[in-house]
Amino acid sequence: MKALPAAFLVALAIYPLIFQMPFPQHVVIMALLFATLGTAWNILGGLAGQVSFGHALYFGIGAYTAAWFYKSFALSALVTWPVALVLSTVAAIVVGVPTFRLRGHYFVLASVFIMQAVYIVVSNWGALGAAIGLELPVHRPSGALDALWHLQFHMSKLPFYYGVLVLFIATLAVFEWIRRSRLGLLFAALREEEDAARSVGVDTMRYKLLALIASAAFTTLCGMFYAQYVLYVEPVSTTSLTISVEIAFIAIFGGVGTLWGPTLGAFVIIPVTELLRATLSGQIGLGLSGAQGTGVMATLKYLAAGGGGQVDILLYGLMIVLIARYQPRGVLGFFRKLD
Amino acid sequence: MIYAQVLVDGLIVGLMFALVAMGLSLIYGVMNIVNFAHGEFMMLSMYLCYFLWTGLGLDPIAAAPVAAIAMFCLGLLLYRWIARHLLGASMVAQMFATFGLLIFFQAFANFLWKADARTIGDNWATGIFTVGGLYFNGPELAAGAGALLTALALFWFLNRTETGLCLQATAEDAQVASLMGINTDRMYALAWGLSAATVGVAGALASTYLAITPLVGANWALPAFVAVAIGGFGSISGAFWGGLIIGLVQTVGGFLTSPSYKLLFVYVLFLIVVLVRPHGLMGKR
Repeated sequence: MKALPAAFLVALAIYPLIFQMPFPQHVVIMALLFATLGTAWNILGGLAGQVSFGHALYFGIGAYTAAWFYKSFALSALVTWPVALVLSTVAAIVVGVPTFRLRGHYFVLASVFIMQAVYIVVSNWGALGAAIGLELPVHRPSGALDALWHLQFHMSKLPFYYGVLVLFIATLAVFEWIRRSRLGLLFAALREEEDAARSVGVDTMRYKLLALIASAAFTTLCGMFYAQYVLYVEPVSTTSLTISVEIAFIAIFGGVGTLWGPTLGAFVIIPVTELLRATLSGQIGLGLSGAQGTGVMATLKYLAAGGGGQVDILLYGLMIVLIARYQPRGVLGFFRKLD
Repeated sequence: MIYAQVLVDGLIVGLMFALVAMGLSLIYGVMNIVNFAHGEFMMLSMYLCYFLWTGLGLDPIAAAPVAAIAMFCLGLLLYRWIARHLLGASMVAQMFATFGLLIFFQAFANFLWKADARTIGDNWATGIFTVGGLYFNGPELAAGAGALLTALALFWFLNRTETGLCLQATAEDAQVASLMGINTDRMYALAWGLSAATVGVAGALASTYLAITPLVGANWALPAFVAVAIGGFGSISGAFWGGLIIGLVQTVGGFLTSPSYKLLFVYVLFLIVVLVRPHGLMGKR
């Protein structure tokens, strides 16, 4: 089964050379970004067994660090990434030390409420643009080196595409390296039998923190990539509970703790929701004007035109429920049954 | 005097939080499931009351029993279709299932009714009156009183009826309860129905004075989790007192800083409570 992943990576490498339109490239860039986020989440959630519904905190740290430094000093993520990694490590320790003492529902709910608290603070923080957010000023690069220094490429999506592909492969490699190393065994020990691990002298707090710091670091780099790619950062799409749950869902979609599970999740969910959004929600502004009257026909017409929107989110929610209900071990479970 | 006003306001909104939290605690206590979609029952109930008001002219508070019955049925349905199958599943699958329901119902409301806020106009409770120098907003006071009555009715049911005692026995130990001849499956279904019905009543009561949007439920259910944690997970009376506490905390906190920070105090309180007293202020080990 080594051939399939290799073929997938080769296909990813040549994909943008075949599909040269911006939209198909954008969809795969977003899928790669979320595959990386899911794989990073999987280091903590899958390997060490600590389910976090608050990972958008680290995504937000990356996104806001990139945006704030670029807006204030015209320094791009190429230079500021060490700052973001320091911030994310500090945040991981501040969050981890108290909450890793909690188990089960308590830990998950603590991650939810830390996320909500951070969201409230960020959406009221003037220096970060509060609820409106920060825009990264557009820079017209004078040449290839200047574009790289500013990380602004407006003529082609290829630099972003290959940038996120490198980040994706690096995260996969680190995940697999941890899983096969002694560290991976320690993580498995505290995931499966925390009390037993502790009783034989494993410093569980230390290893949970290590898992969180590694997981947070890659999540932060994804946030920096996102800010440089979209050039706009605001709370709902970066530091919200919704994004946290999306990251976690993508990670568990394929199967918790597996190497390719999050990638499978991202490459199913992101294209489906992006395509739905583009085809359905794009027309909603126009569709609504046709829904003036009352009565059955007018209502049907209104709903057929996409209703009040969010059909993509509706189906996304339904998909989560159905998978949790019918395939709680993740979609890779279907394939396992076949072997 | 202004502080007395803030405390009274906090207690009135606290009664509503208490009612929402009791339903949440009921499902947690009986099934050990965290229902993230709890607030969505409230939101759907608010839309139901809105349409009963605009369509039939039915007063929202008079519509509370209708909303309770409708939400009871929806709760049963969700138990039969989803929650029942989550009993043996992992915690992660349980949490995703209910969080998926939250996303689904919010998007569903958005799809049918758009994100625009709807409000129910003046009704019999509308008006502001003063008692001893304190100001009371009619609809909010009516909601607080209705929430208290509903909470008392739930207490009565749980402690004074045989079915209620069976429900509590199932919460205590489902295996022993089933050995004693209690049909635990029916008790689980009842817990879902009652939980949805009580939060449905909260929705009907809130619909008289809150703007109705697809996201309105989340602002009630998430703080209600904090109330449940304060009271000790699974304790119904604990959730009631926890609701009053978070009502006070958010009103006082919002008064001292800015209303946009009021929930921040509630969420920080959660972290303090679970770290210092993981079994709640009143919970048993």
